[in-house]
Amino acid sequence: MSYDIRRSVSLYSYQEGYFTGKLDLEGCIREVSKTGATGIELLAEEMIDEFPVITPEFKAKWFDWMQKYGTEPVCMDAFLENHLYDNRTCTLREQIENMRRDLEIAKTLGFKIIRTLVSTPMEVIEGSLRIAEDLDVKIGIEVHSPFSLNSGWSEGYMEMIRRTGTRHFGFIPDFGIFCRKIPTELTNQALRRGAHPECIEITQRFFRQRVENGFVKIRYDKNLGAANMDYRMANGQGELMEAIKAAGGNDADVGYAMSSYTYSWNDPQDIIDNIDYIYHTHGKCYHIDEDYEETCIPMKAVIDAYKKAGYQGYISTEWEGFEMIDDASDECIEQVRRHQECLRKYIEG
Amino acid sequence: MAFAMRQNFNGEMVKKNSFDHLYINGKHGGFSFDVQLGYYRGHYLSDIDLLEVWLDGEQMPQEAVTFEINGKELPVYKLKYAVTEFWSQVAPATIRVLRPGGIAPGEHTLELKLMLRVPYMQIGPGHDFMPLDSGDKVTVTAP
Repeated sequence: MSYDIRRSVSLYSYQEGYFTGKLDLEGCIREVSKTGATGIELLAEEMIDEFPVITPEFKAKWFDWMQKYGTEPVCMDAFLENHLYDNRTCTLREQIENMRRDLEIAKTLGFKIIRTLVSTPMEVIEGSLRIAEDLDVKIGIEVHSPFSLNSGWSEGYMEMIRRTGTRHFGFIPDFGIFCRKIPTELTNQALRRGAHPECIEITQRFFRQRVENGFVKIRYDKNLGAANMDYRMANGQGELMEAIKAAGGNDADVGYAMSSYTYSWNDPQDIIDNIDYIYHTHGKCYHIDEDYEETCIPMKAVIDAYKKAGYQGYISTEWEGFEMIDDASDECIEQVRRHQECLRKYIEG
Repeated sequence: MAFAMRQNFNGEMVKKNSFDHLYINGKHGGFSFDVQLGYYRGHYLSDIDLLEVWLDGEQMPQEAVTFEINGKELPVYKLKYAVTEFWSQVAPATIRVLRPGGIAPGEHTLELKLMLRVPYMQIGPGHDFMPLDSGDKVTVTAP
């Protein structure tokens, strides 16, 4: 099947450069443009002046930049802030109004899709479908590890898609679901924090076993905390923590062992199986080496699956290695560049 | 304290150079400083669960502390109702503390205890949301 895979960058990747003032929003867009990517993914609450108001001045600036740098708006990352009040969760109506606000901001700034988090309740998504259809902005739920496609969790959403017949809701896979290893930079950071090499090895052995034997997939459950805990236990977290304890593990060892459950490996076939409902993609990455290889994600296999599936859409670089190194304010630019080269290599190759 | 998320960006949270006297009728009447929110995205002020200012190990009375963003100054007790005031993480807030007689010139230890909840990150049933620690403890110099 013919594919049309385009490259974009989530400005989330530049967060440390942005926080420290080395990059402003235009600077981020300029850096994206330099990599050859043509799409911009934006976090509204991170980079929009005077959020949640879109001023005419901001809107004009935004479209000027898109033209100047040869880019287009692709996806806006939305967050459903359902705990805005300290004494209660927002009501269903308030949550749908939050979705309306974000869909309208996306429409105003030219985005075709918003990313919503796994924490957005089903009834909020269903209650927002009419708004999404009226605005013609899609809602994509992020398939972020430990969540996965072809799972009890994703089946919960597929059931809703079939029942409503909507074409305005689908999935945004995040490449954190395709990790065959624990990121090396995370290991290095644990060692810097005083982790024991023998405990690191135990955690890595457990991870290898999960990759070889297959991860037990997460179920659909409105109680995400319970689903996540059961997922961890079903994947051996209890046994791992026992082993770390028996080996005399310290806080850094325990932290590393717990963090290993952030990453998971799923068969890239999942992309092919669900392609009709994949509207956008997060190219999550942690460290890209000088040969333009992601050090824990087999990018060729993943991109080949997108090609085979006939994917027509964007893949956004979403670099998250900043939390594993001491200073990411310059490194973010280089890592995004390298990941774009990696994507280019396998899309065009 | 229980686990709290903390983002260690390589930038100042409490802006040391912003530390200065407050003047009332031309006389020292307290101090003020700016603080940047230590997170990758902004928050509504109602997400602030705790804000305390400690100077040289002594807690300043809550009623003496105010918080200002976007040209709007609020007393601490009103923060939790401020569900429409959005604090961008790149626009530092100004914190003012009234203190009769002011503070002595020279070095001081300034600690800001600032805890928020991440309002989209539920980590347990009911009302357990991810706590975010955006506090800072620095040595500052009053002119």
